[in-house]
Amino acid sequence: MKLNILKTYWKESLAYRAEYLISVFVVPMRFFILVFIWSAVYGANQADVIQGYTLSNLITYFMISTFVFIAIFNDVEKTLEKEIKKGDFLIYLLKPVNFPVLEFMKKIARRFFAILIEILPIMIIFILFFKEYLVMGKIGFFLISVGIAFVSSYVIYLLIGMMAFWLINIRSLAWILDFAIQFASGLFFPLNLLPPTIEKILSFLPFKYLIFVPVNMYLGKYSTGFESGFTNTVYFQLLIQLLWCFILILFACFVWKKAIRRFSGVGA
Amino acid sequence: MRSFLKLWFKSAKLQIARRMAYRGEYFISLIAMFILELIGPLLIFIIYFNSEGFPGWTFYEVLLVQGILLTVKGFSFFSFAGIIWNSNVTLMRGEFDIVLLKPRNTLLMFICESFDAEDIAKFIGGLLITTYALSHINGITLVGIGLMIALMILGVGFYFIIALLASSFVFRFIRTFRIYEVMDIFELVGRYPKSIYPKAFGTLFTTLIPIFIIAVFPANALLGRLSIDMVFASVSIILLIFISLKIWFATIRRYASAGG
Repeated sequence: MKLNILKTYWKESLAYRAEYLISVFVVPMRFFILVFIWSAVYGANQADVIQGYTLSNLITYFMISTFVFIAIFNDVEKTLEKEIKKGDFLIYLLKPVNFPVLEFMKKIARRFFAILIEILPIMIIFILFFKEYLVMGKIGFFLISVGIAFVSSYVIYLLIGMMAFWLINIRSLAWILDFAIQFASGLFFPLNLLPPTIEKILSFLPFKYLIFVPVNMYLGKYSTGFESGFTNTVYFQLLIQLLWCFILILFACFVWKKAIRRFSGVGA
Repeated sequence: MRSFLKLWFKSAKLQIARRMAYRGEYFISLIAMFILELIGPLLIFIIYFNSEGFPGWTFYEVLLVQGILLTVKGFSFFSFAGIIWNSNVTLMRGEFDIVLLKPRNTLLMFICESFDAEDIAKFIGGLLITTYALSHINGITLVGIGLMIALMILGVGFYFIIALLASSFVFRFIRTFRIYEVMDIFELVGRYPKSIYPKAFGTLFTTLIPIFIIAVFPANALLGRLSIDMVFASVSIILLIFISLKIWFATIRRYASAGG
């Protein structure tokens, strides 16, 4: 049945392919501008490296972080809020598959579609126009990390959506949290560029494992050997990422049980 | 025009009153609107925290560009740029016919109905950032302020062009909410000094797509860095307003509702 759910949502994504295709114009354009900005900064300062990043490293960081963002993006909080607000959430309680699982299947289908229609054309454009900035990275650990980030991201946004069981209208709050998560995950710039105190605070949160850590794995910033200590290895980062993912799932299960008990739709 | 302004103010009052019915949510959304716009100043902070920044520009001068951009954008978004969103929504619901039936100019009527009470936060936030940046810049003259305001008005004109063209695009392709991302690209270009772009791009963004008029040129005028580019951009804006108006009305003429 779960495979059929995947197929249905894949077909739904096909119907709105124009919306996805906007990325093919927008993302490379954003990159052209980023290249101009950072080339000017590196050029003016006659610096080869800023906070451990060469210009190529930084441009690759922005490129890979955009791909990771497209791959793990989800808006489950909006769907959940809408269903609760309209009272339609009641229907999900009658279905044989519960809401979190159904939405998770939907996200997998949509993200596979996004990878095909957004990431692949953008990658071709990058290879054509930004070849000199591209740094070939370590794909294996990176893909595992993105997979875990996908699950963590889904659970985080599901938790945000669950707030609607108590607050009903969470649209604006979700905007603020979404911005904060994108910032803390390193989507806008590598977290090492932040003042050390802020970087230290963010390192205790799970958000950096959504984008910053996977991208740095790609860039080979973590070693695969144990010469510089276990904490600097890719294995340690994956372990912590898995641990956060597990904690988030447990927490989401706990909140979901409380939320379901609290929900009362019209006529329920 | 007077009657339009009267109608616009009444519509604005109504929209704000409607949002004030749920004032807690409204205030949070105002804060959210401002916070979401902080990415520009944040990136500037990061650049200047880690390097010497852009040649010829201090941190507060680039921050001034961010403030001016947000002020111009905020004003445009709450006063008329809501027509983009409204085009998407009214077409999807089939409600645009009602606008056409009203006994006023369709565009002015559509603008009145598209007032966005949330985007006021962007405007106020822009003013705050501009004031903060100005308080750290010396040598400001009254002539400079006058020129800056004049160019900011033309910057609003740039957003008017974009709003009309984006609305026309929505009328043609229906349900294209992501058109805002294309607008973000223009905005991203306008956030940084002209000197960082290659010459061809600099000329393009001064004449054919005069993006620098939304923030870079007003900041330059205030700082006393006048150039002939400002004249080219101003002339271009006036011409593009006429062209985009023509396109919008031509699109509306081709509009066929569900009933044909």
